[in-house]
Parts: sequence; C-alpha cells; structure tokens
Amino acid sequence: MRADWIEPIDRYLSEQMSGTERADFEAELATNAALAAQVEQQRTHLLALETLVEDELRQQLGTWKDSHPVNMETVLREQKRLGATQKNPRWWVWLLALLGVIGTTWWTVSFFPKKDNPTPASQPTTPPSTPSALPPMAQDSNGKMPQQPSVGHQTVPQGRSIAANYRTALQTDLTTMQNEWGQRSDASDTWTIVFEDMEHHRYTEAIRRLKTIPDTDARYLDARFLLAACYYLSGDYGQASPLFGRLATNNAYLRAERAAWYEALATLGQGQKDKALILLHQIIAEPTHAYRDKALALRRTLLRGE
Amino acid sequence: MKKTAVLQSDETLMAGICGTPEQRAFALEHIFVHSGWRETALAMLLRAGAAWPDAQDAVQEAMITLDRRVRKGYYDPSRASLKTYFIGICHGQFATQQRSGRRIALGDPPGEFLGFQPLENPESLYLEEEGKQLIRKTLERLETHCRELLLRYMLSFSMKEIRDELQIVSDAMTRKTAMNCRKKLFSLLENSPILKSYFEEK
Repeated sequence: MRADWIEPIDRYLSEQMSGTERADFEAELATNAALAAQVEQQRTHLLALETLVEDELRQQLGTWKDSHPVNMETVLREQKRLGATQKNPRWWVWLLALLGVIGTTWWTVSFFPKKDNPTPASQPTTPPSTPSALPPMAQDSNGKMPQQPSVGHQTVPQGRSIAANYRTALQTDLTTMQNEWGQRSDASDTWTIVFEDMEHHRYTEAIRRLKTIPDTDARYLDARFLLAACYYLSGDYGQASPLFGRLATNNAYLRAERAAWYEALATLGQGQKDKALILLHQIIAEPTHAYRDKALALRRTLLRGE
Repeated sequence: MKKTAVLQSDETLMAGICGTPEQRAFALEHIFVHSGWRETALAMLLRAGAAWPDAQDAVQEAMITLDRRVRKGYYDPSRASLKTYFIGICHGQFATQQRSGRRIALGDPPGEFLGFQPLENPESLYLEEEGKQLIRKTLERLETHCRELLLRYMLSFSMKEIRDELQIVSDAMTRKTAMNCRKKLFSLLENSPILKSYFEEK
C-alpha cells in the first residue's frame, strides 16, 4: 500500500474530487492495477471507519433514549392528527365531515349575529359571496379604523379580500377551541369574558384583556393565538401576521400548524403576496401538515390569478 | 436558557451536524430529543402498522442515516425540509425492515401507502450488516487513541482540529500519528482471515 495514494483515494471515494480531477484519476485507475487494488482496499477501510462513527452515534442515541423517554402523549396526539389527514377515508367519513361542516357553519352564522352597521357593499375588501358571514371591521380604542394596506399596490385588494374570506373559517376554529375549553375544569371567568367579547365583535376589549395575561399563565400561548385572531378578525393583518408567525415556529405550541396557516393568510391580507406564497410553500413542504391541502388550493388560486 | 426553548433552523442543524463533535452532538440531540420529530415519526410508523419496537428501531437507524447523509452532502435543502427528509428516511427504513422479512405487515405496505421506497436492497443490507459486525470485532482490537483519532478523521476534521482536541504536540506529529493509525487499521483488516474471506466472497 502506497502512503501517498491514501489521501487522493479517500477524496475519490468520498466524492470530493472536481470533474477534471476525477476524470484524470479514473483514467489512471483504468490503466494502473496497483492503484485499482488500493482503491478497493481503501473502500473496505472507509466502510470500517464509517462503522466506527455509526457505532459511536448508536451508543449516544441509546443514552439519549434512556435519559429522555418518548413523550407518549405527543405520539398519541400526532396519531390522532394523522387520522384526520389519512389519504383515503371511507365514504361515510366524508359524509360525516360534510354534515359537520354544514352544522358548524349554520351554528356559527347563528352564533355570530350580524351587526347593525354592516360593511358597505362598495368596500372592495368584502367578498360579495359571503357578506353576511363576515364581521365588520372593528375600531380601536381611539376610534380609528385599523391599519390599511398601502394604496396602489396591485395585490392588496385581492389579497385582502381572500384573507377576509377566511374569517368565517377562523371563527369556526375559535368556536371549536371554545368548546374544547368549555369542557375543561380549569376554564376561568377571564376566558369566558374574552370569548363573549369576541362573539359580539368587541375585539378592542378582547385584545385589552388578552394583553393582560402574563406569560407565566398555563394558557399563555392560546392567549397569544386569540390575540392574533382578534387582530385578524378586526382586519388588522399587520398585527396578526407576526403574532401568528411566532406561534407557528413554537414547537411547544399545539396549534402551531393552524397558526402557520393563518400567518400566511394574514400576510396575504397585508398585500404581501410573494411572502404569503413562501409561507404556503413551507406548509406544502410538510407532507403531514394539517393545512397542506388548503395551502395547495390557495397557492393554486394565487398563481392562477397572476 | 433551556435547550428545549432553542428553536433550531435547518441551516443551524446542518451546520451543527457538519461541525465539531460537540456541535454535532448538540444538533443530533436537538433533533432526537427536543424537536418532536421522533414523536411524529413514531406516530406515522405506528399508523402504518409498525410494532412499537420496530418503529423505535427504524427511527434510531434513520437518525444514523440522516447524520451520514447530511455529513456527506447528500441532503438537498431546496428539495425538502430537514424534518420531511427525516420522516422520509424513517419510512424508507421501516419499509426496508419489512421487506427483509423481520416482521409480517398488516394492511397496506407502508412504503407504497405513504409513497416512500425502501432505502436499499434488503439482501445487500443484510450482507452489509454482517460485514459491519465483523468490522466491529476487528476494530475492538484497535487502541483507544487510534479509534478517537480515526473517528475525528472520518468526521472531516482538519489536522489542526485533531491536534487541538487530542492534545498532540504538533501538526507533523498529528499527521504521523494519523498515518500510523490508518496503517494499524489496514493491517488489522488485512490480517483478519474471517473478514478477508468475507470480502472475497462479496
């Protein structure tokens, strides 16, 4: 075995050689039997060394597995979530889902009554198809309307209108969340009041209450989600987007995927179509993401609109 | 700050895996323990019909494969996130386990059901594993300092980094020690009759 061949052969075997260098080496390999023999020997030796690295890691993984056992609660939750996104559920699952959607929509429409001052029909932000389902734009504590996107940006009216279309869906999600909370024994009065404020579109009051919840509270992350939802429902997408964004990247938060979806919508509502497409792409890149199908459909709509 | 609170991006995890042993260990520990990917992968494998020990084995082996592929530059971040890539490897690993007949599957084959293919041919995988067992036995005869040095060599450490980590006096001495260790390894592998016959058969 020649010592001066060891390094180039290592580089050849680990595919670190450039195109021309590799071609030269292979030409030499075709004519030099001693070199070819040493390449084969070193291939075995590299396999041996790789085994050394793997064994060290296997040992380390065993230690971590003992010190940090699998969180079974998370596994069960993931399994449950995956069940909801299974590829080919039976027809009765679809039927039940459809009935559920119809029932929830009917209940939501009756639960969130229309206000006396609905959004004017001429306002471009309200989609004509679902005017009654959408809450009006709320005013802040100073009596001002929430931040509007810049005028003249081509994508703003379309993006804002699409984001507004999803307000009903967000309200449905919040209703589900409220129902879950209602079943919990530790649900306090503060949360009941917050939900009541939101039901009656008193977003400013709900925001004020939610901001007082300390980060030491067990449901602080849920409070941040509700805060973002209040901003979203009141049409203040500029405030909603970063709040949803922070929740979406928080691994500890159960509703992170939902937050990622609404972050993309809020970004779209701000008129930032390109950024929204990137966020949708991130959702689509995750095969198990609960909002993947919705993200795919929305991305298709946005790209077709160009 | 707790480790669990650190939000690692794919870029920092990749840089960590290709970094020093401490950075690599930190990145791999984050993926395995704190990221929640292990739980997601286990849930998916269990739904695909895996038994609990098989699912755990597949996830552990997937970690080893992920480490190797990232270090060797086979992972392309533009094609999938690191989490998606990891989950894909887990499925491939499980599909390979199944096809090699280690357990009987119930329901749809998960590889086809989830759109993933096994990583390698089970037969070649079995032969490779057999070879690795033989290599392991041979490597046990190598001195500790040589194992430590060759481990760092395989993790693409520079001579300076190896010198600093193992407290060798100079670069020249490090190079010489590395060469001697390689030679010792070569000689051990060449002089092992079982291993020699195994590779000849292969």
